[in-house]
This record gives sequence, structure tokens and C-alpha cells, in this order.
Amino acid sequence: MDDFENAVLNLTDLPQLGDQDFDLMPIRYFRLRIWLWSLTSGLVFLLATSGLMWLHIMQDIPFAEVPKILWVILGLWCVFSAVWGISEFRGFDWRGYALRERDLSYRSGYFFHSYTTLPFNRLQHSEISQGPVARAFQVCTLKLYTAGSSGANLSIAGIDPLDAQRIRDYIEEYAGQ
Amino acid sequence: MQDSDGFQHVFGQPRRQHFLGVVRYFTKNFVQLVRAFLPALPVFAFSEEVRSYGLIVTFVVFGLVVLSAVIEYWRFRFHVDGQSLIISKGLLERERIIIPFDRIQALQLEQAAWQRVFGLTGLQIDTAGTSGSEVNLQALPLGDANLLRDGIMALRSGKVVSNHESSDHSLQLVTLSRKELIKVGLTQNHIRNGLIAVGALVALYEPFESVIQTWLSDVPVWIWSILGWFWFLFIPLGVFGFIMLSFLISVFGAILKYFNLNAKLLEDEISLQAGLLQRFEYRVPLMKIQVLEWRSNLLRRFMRIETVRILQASSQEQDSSGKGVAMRIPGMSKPSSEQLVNAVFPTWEQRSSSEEIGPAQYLQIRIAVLRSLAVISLAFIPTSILAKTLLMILGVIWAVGSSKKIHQNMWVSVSPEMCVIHTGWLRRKRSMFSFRQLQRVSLHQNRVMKQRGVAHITMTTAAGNQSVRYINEEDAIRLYNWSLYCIERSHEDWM
Repeated sequence: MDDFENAVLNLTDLPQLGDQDFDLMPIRYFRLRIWLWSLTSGLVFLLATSGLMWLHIMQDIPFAEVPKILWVILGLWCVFSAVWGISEFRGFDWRGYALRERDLSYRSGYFFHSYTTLPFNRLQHSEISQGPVARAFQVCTLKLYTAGSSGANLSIAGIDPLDAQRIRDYIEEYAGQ
Repeated sequence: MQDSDGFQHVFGQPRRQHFLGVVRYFTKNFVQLVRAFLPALPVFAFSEEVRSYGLIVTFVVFGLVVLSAVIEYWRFRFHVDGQSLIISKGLLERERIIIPFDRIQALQLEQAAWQRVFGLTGLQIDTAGTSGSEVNLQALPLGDANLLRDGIMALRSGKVVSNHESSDHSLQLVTLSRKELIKVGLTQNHIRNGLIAVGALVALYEPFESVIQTWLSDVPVWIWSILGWFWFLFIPLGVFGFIMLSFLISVFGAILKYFNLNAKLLEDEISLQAGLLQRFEYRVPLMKIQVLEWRSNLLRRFMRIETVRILQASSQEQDSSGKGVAMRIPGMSKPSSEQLVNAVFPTWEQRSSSEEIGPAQYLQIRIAVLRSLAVISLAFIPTSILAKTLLMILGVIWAVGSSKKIHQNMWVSVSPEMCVIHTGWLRRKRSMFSFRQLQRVSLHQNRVMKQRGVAHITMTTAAGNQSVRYINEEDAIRLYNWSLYCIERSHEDWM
């Protein structure tokens, strides 16, 4: 027991990952996410309301007689897009990554916070991917893969392509040592 | 040295499998073909034109499948070159696969009943690449397969190949006698087995519906009216039947799967053999083991046995819990578990100290509240006030009691090198892994948990995720930093 008590003291000397170490994503990525949010929620809302107006005006159905389920669905969608919007607006300042000498960390999520760290000495390969929308906003996704799993073990979306390349170069240099 | 020459002599030159491998290729291709054309089959069956040519079509298809199986068999060649196994295959798209021995995570011999008749066996080689990269040798003479497997296992640890197993170092972990086999069968998950059996019975009823209907119509009407009055007598009978059926199926399944089970701890690997009709033999190098996972239920604890799963990095399909396909040894007693731990994770037995981290109070409150809410919502169903209150009181007592038990039975033991996670109350699980073999660490919390200072930690090994849920935030951060430190300072192989 005593031995580990020493180790516990040592734990505070360990390198600690602090919230101040994280770099935020470029503001372009914020714009992309807000566009996505506003387009999706706006379009669905527009479609639903125009459907209701069509029933009201063209079919002469009073609003009180429109099936209740339609109102419920519209209301649920409004709540959903409001919650989504909050997580996009408030959560962006939380989204970020931290490059340290031996590992890369990523944190994200507003309602569900998460931190993930992947040490470079467990890395198998890395990948930079960029779709057409991401290219228009000049951001990309950095994916890091470890062994024995099917998907990427750490993927950082919305990172600046130059930064992603720099991180990749650094990892390569680290692996070469 | 002579044996090593023998190994070179048998496997040094490119060679084919046993000719009966064609049978395996044939069945595999046939099943694939049927699956691919399954939606079109009814059309074929009802179309007059196809039916009139039915015989020819069948012959052509059959012939093509046979031809493809023969070609696949013919093109599949393998040999050993130095420290790797080299396989070349394919007709149009030729493939050459090189598997270095030290990348092999597990070897499995699998012998179906018909293969035993001809003294053949299939050999499956698992590397931890992407899924589908494992290699299957469909049919090898048993002697050759044993030689190849022992040769691979020996060469990867840099030793001379010997034809006979060196028994000096082997240590029995589990051998199941008849009696113990029944024990293992009796402690399976009966409810699941019983439900599967009932499902099968229902599925079988459909095609035989008319037969059963005519059979039942012979029963005189007055018997039905008596049965209608005394239907409640059949409830205990049905329950009894269900229990007996599930027991029978569990025992029968255990005998099929674990007959003659023999788990051995060799010098630097674990071997497991079992099976009645289909025999399999599994070998995992100790170095490649990522996680040991013990599971027990009430019955197993009563009999003082546990099932241990041995997980290595795997490229195979992951099951629903996100873990790789694993070797499973049933009927482990406490001393043999200790031997296993001693061999796989010696640092745990030699630990100078360990610390225990319990879950946060939040976990207990959360379970109690959620379960109480569930019971209270159920209490709306009965109509009488008495039943409502009784259900509520009993339900809340159950919710509070079970939350306390679950809270008590969840904890993490941490030594400087190792981590053991204990969870579950009635069905317990504990998993053991070393910090340095981890590949990724993550911390999750939702907003309520953040307010209460509670977090989940997920530690990813090459064999899947291991989670510690609902612990205090300081403990979580300590665990997070400590495991990262252990990974990053380690220069040893981790898989």
C-alpha cells in the first residue's frame, strides 16, 4: 500500500492535459457547421409549414382540424433543431485538439463532453480526407488508425489542411526516431 | 536439427492442400451463389421456360461451381520461407500474401466431422490486419497441420522445430471430466437457451400446421371444454417444461462444444482443444494476449467455476459488445485462474501494491431513481389500489437494494502496471489488462455528470474497449494520465 501511495504523489508530477492546451478549430469550420445546421433545420421547417399552408388554403381545412400528429412532429422538430443549434453555437469553443510531444488529444461535444488521446507509439497509419464541401470551406479531416479495430480510432474533423499536414509530418518524424 | 530439416522438407517448396479441400471450396462457393441469387430463386421456380430447361440449368450451374472450386484449390499454394508463410492464390486476380510469423495473433485448427473421417483439418491463421485478412487453409492432413502449427509457433520464438510437443513445460489449466462437463452445461445461460428453443418450436409449427390441425381435430369436444376450465393448471406444467427444455439444451450444447476439453499452458502459449463432432484446437501466444475476462453467474459461483475469455488483437468481426472473437475456457477453478494470470500477466501477481477505485455515489442514486421510475410507471397497470401500492413498495425496495448491490460490486483494482475492472452483481464480470498494451484513452461525461464531478473512462486495447463507468472525476483524470504515461514510456511490443 505504501509503495503506491508514493506513486500517487508521482501522479501529480505526471504531464497533465489541461484545458488551456487545446487549439480551437478554424472559424471556417464553425461557418460550415452553422450552414449545415441552418440549412437542414430551415428546409425541414419550411417544407412542413408550406405543407400545412397547402392543407389550409388549397384544401380548405381549418388549422384546428389538421391532424394533431403533424403539429406534434413540427413541434418536436423545432425543439430538436433548437437543441442542435445550442450544441453547435456553444459547443464550438469546446471543440479542439492538443498536440504534445508523444500524443495527440481531441475534445468535443457540448451536451456530451469527451476527451480522447492517442499516443503516437501505438499509431499504425494516418489519413487526411476532404470532401467537396470541406474543400469549399478549406478544412479537412485527420484520421489516425491503431491496430485491431475496424474504424479510425481518432478522427479530427474541421482541421486546417496545413495544420493537419504539419501534424502528420511531425508524427512521421517521431516514428523515424 | 533433423526435425527442422523435416519441416523445411515438407513446407519449403510451394505445395497445395489436400485434394479434398475442393469439397470445402465447393460448399463455400455454392452457399455464396445461393445467397446471391436467393431473391431470384422463386422467379426461376415459377417460370415455365426456366423449368423446362431445369435439368440443363442445374447441371451447368453445378458444373461451374465444381470447376471454380477445383481452380481455386489448384491455384492455392503455400510454403514457408524463413520466418514467414507465403501464400499465392487466384486465377484472374492473382494474390501473393506474406505473413511474418511474429505477426500471427492466433492459430486455430478446426476439424468438422467429415474431415475427421479422412484425417484432415482446416487451419485458420489470424493476423490483426483489417477484417478479412485472416487466412484459411481449408484441408490439410492432420500430421502436416500439426507440424506447420508447431513449426510456426516454435520459429516465431526462435527455437528449433521439434515434431513432438515438449511436455516438460506444459501445465494443465482445465480438463473437463464427464461430471464437470455436466456442471458446465448446467451453469449456462438457461433463459436464453430456452427462448431460442421456444422460437425454434414456433418456427417449426408453421410448416406442420395442417398436420397438427387434423391431428387435433380428432380430439373430442368435451376434452377441449374441460381444458378450457382448468387452463391455469397448465401454467406450472409449462414453466416446468420450459425449465427442463432449457436445461436439456444447455447440457446438450455444452457436450457438443466442450467434450474432451483440454486447456494447457505451454511455455509461451495457451492451447485449447475441445469438441464432440467438430473438434477445434486453438493456440494463442502469451505475448499476444491483450485482455483476460472472467464471467460468472449465481450457479457458476455456487459450483466455484468461472468462464474465462482470452482476447488477442483480432481482425475478425466484432461481436455486439465491441470485442474481438475470443478463445473461451469454461469451468476454470480459482487455482487455475491464478496460474493463468501468473503466466500471462506476471506483474499482477508480483504487484507490490494496488489501489481500489470505487464508483461515485451518483451511480447508485441514478440506478435507484431510474428503476423506481420504471416500477412506478408499471404500477399504473393493475386496477386495485392494494395491488398498486404493493407493487410500488416492493418495486422501490428492489430498486434501492439492487442499486446498492451494483454499486458495491463495481470497482477497479489498479496496480502500477495493471488494471482489473469488476462489474455486475448477479452476473459478474472482471477484466484484466495491462496499461502499457493500451492504444487509446478517452474520457466521457454529459453535462449532469460534469456538474456532479463524475466521468466514464474508456481504454482501448487492440482487442476492444474496456470501460470504467461512473467514477469520480479526479480518479478518472488520474487513471487517464497514468495510462497515457504507461503507454508512452513503454518500448516493449504491445501486440
